[in-house]
Amino acid sequence: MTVSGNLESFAGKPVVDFKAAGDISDFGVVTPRLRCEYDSNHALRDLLATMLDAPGAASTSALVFGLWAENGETYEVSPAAAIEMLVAKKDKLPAINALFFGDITSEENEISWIEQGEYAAIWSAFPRLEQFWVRGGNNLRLGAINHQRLDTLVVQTGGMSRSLVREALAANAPIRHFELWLGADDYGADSSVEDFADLFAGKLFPALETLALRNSEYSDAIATALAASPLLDRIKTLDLSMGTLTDEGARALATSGRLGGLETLDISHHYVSSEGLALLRGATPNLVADDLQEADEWDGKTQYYVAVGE
Amino acid sequence: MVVLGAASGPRHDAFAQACVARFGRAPAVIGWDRFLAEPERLAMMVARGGYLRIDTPDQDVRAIAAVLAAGAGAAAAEAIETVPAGIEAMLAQGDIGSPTQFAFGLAAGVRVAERIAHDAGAAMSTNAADVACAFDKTRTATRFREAGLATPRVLSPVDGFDTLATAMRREKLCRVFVKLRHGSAAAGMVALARHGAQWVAVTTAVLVDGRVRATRAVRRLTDRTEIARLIDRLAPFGLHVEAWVPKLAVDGHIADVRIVCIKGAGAFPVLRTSRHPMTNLHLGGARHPIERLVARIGAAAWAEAVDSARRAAALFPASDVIGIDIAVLNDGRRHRLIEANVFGDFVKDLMVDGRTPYDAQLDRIAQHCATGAQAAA
Repeated sequence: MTVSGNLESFAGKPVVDFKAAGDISDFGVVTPRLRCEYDSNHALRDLLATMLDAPGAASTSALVFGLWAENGETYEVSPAAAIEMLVAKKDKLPAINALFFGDITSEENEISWIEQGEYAAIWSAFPRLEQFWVRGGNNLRLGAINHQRLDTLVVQTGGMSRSLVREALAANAPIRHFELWLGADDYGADSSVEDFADLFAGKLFPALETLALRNSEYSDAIATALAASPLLDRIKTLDLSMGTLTDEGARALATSGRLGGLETLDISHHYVSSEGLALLRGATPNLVADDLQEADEWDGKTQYYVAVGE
Repeated sequence: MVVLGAASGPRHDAFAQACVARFGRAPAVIGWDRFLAEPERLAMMVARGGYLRIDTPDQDVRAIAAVLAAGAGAAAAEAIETVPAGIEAMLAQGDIGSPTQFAFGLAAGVRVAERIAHDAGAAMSTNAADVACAFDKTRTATRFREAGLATPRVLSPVDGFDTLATAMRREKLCRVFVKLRHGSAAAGMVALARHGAQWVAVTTAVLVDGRVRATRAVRRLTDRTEIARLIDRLAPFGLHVEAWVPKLAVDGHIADVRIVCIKGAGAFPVLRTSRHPMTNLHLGGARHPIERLVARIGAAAWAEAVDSARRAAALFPASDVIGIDIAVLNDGRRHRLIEANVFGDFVKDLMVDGRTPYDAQLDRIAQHCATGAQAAA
């Protein structure tokens, strides 16, 4: 499975492509999306420049960047120039509270091929930022996140490096929604459950409501560690979907005695047996467990695959 | 009415059922293998002023083998790889045969049927010229483009992986669909993307003992050597390479549209979605009412797509029915015409105003036969 669809709405507003002046008449009611088209040569940066000069652009509160490409190629093409311009012209977008970098589907580019950039300058440039979403982990750097308002941090990859996991966890911000797509080791995922020790010990993100450690090859280890974690007592949503949860992790969660406060436990794309699901349902009525997977037998071993591992 | 098509199978059954519902009896059917062996049988079946419907041999391997045999000479003359002896058993295991050879055989057979129908003063559902063009993706794309209809960019002819890689670089395309020029049902189709020196291919084709099989499993290949081997093995069957345009997603699944255009009865559209770049039903694709797409892209963009389909169908003037496949781009506004399918009316559960594409055609056929009978009297 891959990410098949582009965003239809973001930050509560419908996403509308902006290509030229006149495409959007009221920037206050939509989320503009800037992206390169497969058959045109507009660079992301040029589209941003055009938008910044459009009448009314200053009322934009959420902005999405889609495919970046040059001459029909995505290879070695990063959003760096667009990030740089966004930061340099930040005064033209005083209302920005949500950003998405990489609304790119499997019809446009492989998630593991998306070339990312360095976002360290974003945090001080946009003090009103509440949501930051990014897709693709290649050369992605978040830098030191020191922010008064940022409450949603989402990093979607097919294989996330340990250093990136640590950068995200080090965010000094009032995070309520923390979401990582950890991905497959074939595609650069090298983190482990130990990297989340401080988070699970309750030392980070005191305002956390949603913990989403999705698309992970070690969902069972996460579930087992969380079962012993005080964090589970205070969050409202635990999302382990797109991963590799089996009966082992399901049993640990079900017997933790800590699921009572959860409004949602999402394990969709899982490998849990009907017995394991019954255990979980007994522990919480708020289980979402769609998309049961079947493990592969290969090379004498049982293989579990994440949803987006490429 | 007489049907030259599959003597059994899902297609045969569905059409026969529609005929029973409409006329109280099933049509006379002659299978392709029987017809090709003894064309005069068809001549005996077709009534003066009647109607001859042409359909595919469907899954009947004996009939497919007969059609392949009829196309062997023409395929060899065009340096297309032809099937070996004993192909029937291989077809039953999913071997792709030789789609160009098959298309040539089919067109040759339709040409013979055309003469028979002409002599009997009978009407036909299509003719050899339309069949030959619709089966040929390169000719179809050219025909669309010359009529001002938008198609994905078509790459210059390629004869293997190396020339393909060179052409992609030259034409600045890093994502393409490699299709068998006369292929159908995603057989031998490869969605191919390049990123620097890395490649990824999504396909149902597997190489078994030097032959190509179409499977029901969509595989993802990332090894360049393996991908090159597959493309090189497909090339002797004749390739059509076009840009992989980014398709719209509906409810998180990749979507495209089949619009079945029926003369005198308008458009019968169906939305097809899948997790894979190819939306075929047998590969886990799903079918949905078109309203879901219209709600997503708006009435204006949808009207443009239907208009394109109508204009495309009109480019196959001898065909009473033609299925036009359209990709709506992920901007939700533009679309590209992908293919024409002269036997594209077999779509389960497709209804417009309570009528299936078969119902609509049968009305037309009933009308024709009524006037034809009058003329004969």
